[in-house]
Amino acid sequence: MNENEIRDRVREALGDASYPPALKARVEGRMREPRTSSYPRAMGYLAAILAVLIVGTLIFVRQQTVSGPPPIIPASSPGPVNPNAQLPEADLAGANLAGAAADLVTPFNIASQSSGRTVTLIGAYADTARTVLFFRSMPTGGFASVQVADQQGLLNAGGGGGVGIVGDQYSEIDMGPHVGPDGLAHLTVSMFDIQNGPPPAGHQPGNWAFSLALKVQTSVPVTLTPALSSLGPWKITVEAAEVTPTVIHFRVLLDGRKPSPDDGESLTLIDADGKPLMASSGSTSLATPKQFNSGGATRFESIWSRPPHAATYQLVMSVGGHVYRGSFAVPEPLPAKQRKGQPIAPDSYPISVEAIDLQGPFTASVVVGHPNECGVGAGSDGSLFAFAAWFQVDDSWYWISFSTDPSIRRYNGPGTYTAAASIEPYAPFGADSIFAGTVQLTVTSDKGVDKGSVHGTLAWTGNSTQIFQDVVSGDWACTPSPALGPG
Amino acid sequence: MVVARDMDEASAGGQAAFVALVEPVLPSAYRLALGMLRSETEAEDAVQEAVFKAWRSHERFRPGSEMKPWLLAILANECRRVRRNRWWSVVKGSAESESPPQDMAEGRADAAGLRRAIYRLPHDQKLAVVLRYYLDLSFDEMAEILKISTKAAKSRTYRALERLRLSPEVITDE
Repeated sequence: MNENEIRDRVREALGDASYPPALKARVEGRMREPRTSSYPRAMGYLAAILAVLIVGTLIFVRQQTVSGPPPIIPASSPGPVNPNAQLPEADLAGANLAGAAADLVTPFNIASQSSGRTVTLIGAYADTARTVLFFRSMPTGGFASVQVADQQGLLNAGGGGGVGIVGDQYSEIDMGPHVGPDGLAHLTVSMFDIQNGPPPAGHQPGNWAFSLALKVQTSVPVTLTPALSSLGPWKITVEAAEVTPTVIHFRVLLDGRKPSPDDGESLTLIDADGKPLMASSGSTSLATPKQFNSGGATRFESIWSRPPHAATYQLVMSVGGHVYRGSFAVPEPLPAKQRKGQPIAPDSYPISVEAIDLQGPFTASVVVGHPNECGVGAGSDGSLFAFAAWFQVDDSWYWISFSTDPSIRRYNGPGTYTAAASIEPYAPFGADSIFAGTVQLTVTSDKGVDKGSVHGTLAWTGNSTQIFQDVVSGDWACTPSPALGPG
Repeated sequence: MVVARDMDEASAGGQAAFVALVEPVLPSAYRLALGMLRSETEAEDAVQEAVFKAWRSHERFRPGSEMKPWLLAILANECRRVRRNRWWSVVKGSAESESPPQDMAEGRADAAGLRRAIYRLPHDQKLAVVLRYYLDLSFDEMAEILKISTKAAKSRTYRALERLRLSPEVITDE
């Protein structure tokens, strides 16, 4: 094979995509970041109210908590830690489940231990085309091998996965589970190997098992116009043409001879602007031969992300020089669940320069923060001082907060105080904290620009027989304003 | 050709001038990211991030150098970072109703099979295949991006092709 032939084969394999004209503008936009944020005053007042509520909650939690390592949850705990908490947005976004689809993710808190390591299944989502599972475990990172079965057997499809916030991973299978007589899918999940990082890092064999009952989101069938029933010498059966809450899914069978490499088969979606969409997964396989003539059939299957609005697409199927083009409509997705208030994006708050170091399983240097709590306020037991800020690590947002405890010592000016501390991932309507503990908070100035230092240890709040601790240290600064709590 | 003598103008003229310098390279950059990451969204994000990182460190840009290999080298690292942040492995069982394509078993990959095989290559080998056969770069250009010798670039490409069972008769810039 000469180089030109290799080049042709590689290009055929990788496909082509038009250069996005908006890329230059996006590049320019990225270079302007981080930009100084401005935010509406009403949003600021809302932030102040929220901040007061958060500080009050922290004080309550502090009063109720006995210090020590986090409790170990038994092997199977059916409910979420906090039923009102959402999974971190970074976890959901990676699995294409952010936004309105987040409400369709069922939170779980099912822990499984093996080889001295605890893995917790923290959430799951399924529709007729895909199954997504979210896991939490320490140490963070790693490549997990996951097998999923329902009441009819193994979900035998391809898939993938990714990482979310520190400690979290998700796994996707390009197949929906079967629904049982009770209207739920009964899944058995096995995780039997966790790599400690990208190869060649070592791996940890084990057998982590989870059982769960999960609602399967229904799909809306789409109608291709004109109908697809044959293409050249092949008879076509459209096995699936549907839109789930998160994806567009097509699966077709070609009955006839197996397409050869020269036939160059493809299944493509074209949007209204004539731009091809990149499939999020695709596969070709031989199907059961007995029920078809001509010695077999070939199944093509592809999944594309569903757009967040109604749209019309064209499905283009090409095999052996024969081309089918059919259009179909994707309806408007269901609206997000109505909740009180509107989420406030972390970067809506003004930037401040910080020098806070996190060392341990979550290692980060926070040099840019977006404080949303700053200054002196009143709790039920008297004056307190609070500092809290959003910061970003590896494209995920986290919130770190320190709040002095007036039940131990009321805030009465600069000095060193014992403070409750926690780190939470971002979720639009709140997430569980992932680290919590107490720190020594030193306030050196509480006039003009508030500033000081912090030192202490936070424990990971996930299920584990081991204790994972982060040391937090460094200097913090913030500028009080009416828009910020707690004052 | 965009070379380093323009960089002073970029430094003086700010971000707009820098974008003007990288703009001719953006189509190649996008193609590289798309070949490495398979996702249009991730490719766009990776290009943005790479340009941003290039801008932040443009004082390290060596006088006399070309913009294209410098930016593509940064982008290649960004693609590696993106790939590392993903993790894969849903285990498929064997079932009678499905089997691997026969051609794959015989060592001759069809387009879908070749695509999967390329994405399973180690990062360095995949990068070599994408640079050579998706971006049409010479081995000299590849060597500059990969920061290895021309001979090593050729050798890395050859090993990747062997792994893909696309045995080359000869690989040369001629």
